[in-house]
Amino acid sequence: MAYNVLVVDDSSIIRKALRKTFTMTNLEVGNFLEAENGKVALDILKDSWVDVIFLDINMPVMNGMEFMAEVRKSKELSAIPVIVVSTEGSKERIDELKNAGVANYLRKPVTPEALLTAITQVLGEGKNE
Amino acid sequence: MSKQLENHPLRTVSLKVLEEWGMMLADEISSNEAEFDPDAPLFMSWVDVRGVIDGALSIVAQRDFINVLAHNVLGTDESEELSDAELEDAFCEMGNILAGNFFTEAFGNEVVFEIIKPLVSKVEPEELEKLKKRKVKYFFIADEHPVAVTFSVKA
Repeated sequence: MAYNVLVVDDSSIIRKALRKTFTMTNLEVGNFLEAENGKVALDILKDSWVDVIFLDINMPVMNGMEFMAEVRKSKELSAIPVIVVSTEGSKERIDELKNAGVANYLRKPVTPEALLTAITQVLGEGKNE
Repeated sequence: MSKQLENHPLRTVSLKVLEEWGMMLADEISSNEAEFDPDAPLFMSWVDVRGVIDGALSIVAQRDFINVLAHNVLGTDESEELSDAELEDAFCEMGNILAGNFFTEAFGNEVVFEIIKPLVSKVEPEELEKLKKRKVKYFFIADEHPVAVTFSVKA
C-alpha cells in the first residue's frame, strides 16, 4: 500500500531532495504533493488526502507554526501526522513543536534511514509490509 | 595543523555536509591551494544566526561547485541544465544546513538558536581576500572545486 505524502517547504531543492530520499527507502509512495508554504498546503489539503505531512518551520506567507495552528482547528486535518524537517533542533524547540501537535522531528539533512524510522514511528510498521 | 583546529566544529560539520548532503569527495586545503577561477564570478551564501551568540556563517564558491552540489542533491544528471533559481536555492540550503548543524555541534542540543534565511549574492574577489584573514575559516576542495567556509561572531 502506498503512502500519500505532502511536503511543505519554501525550498524547491528540499522538496525535490526529500522526494529523492523517499525513492532511496523501500517505502512505496502514491501521490507526492508539494507546497511552498503553509497556506498553499492548506489549499492542497482541501482537495487531497495525505497520510503524512513533512513540514518546514521557517517559510514566508504562512510558517510551520502558523500552519499547525490552522491544522489543529480541524479534526480531520489533526488526524494527519506531521513530521517537522528543520535545521534547528534544540530540546526546547522540539518540545514546542510537540505541544503544537507535531508527531515527529527530522533534522536536515535527512537520510533515507532517518526518514524510514520517522515514518515507521508515526505510521507504524503495517504499511511497510 | 593543531588538534584544536582539526576538531573545530565548523571544519567537521562542513566536511560532513559536503560529503553526506552534497555527496562530494571533500578534503580540507590551505587558502593558498584553493584555486578559484579568476575569470569566473564568486558567489556567497550568507547566513545570520542568532542565539547563544550572534554570528554569521558564509560559504564562498563558484558556479561549477554550486552546479555539482545542486545536481547531487537533486539526483539529476549534470547534463541536465538547472535554472539559476534552482542553483541559488541549493546554495542557500547548504548555508541553512551548515549553519544549523554547526551551531548544534558547537553548542549542543539544549541551545536555542534562530537561523535567518540565507542570502546568496555575487561577491568581488576582494571578499575572498577578506575571508582569508578571518579567524575561523576553512577551505575545501570538493569534487575538484574549491569552496570556502567561515564563521564570524557579531560584536
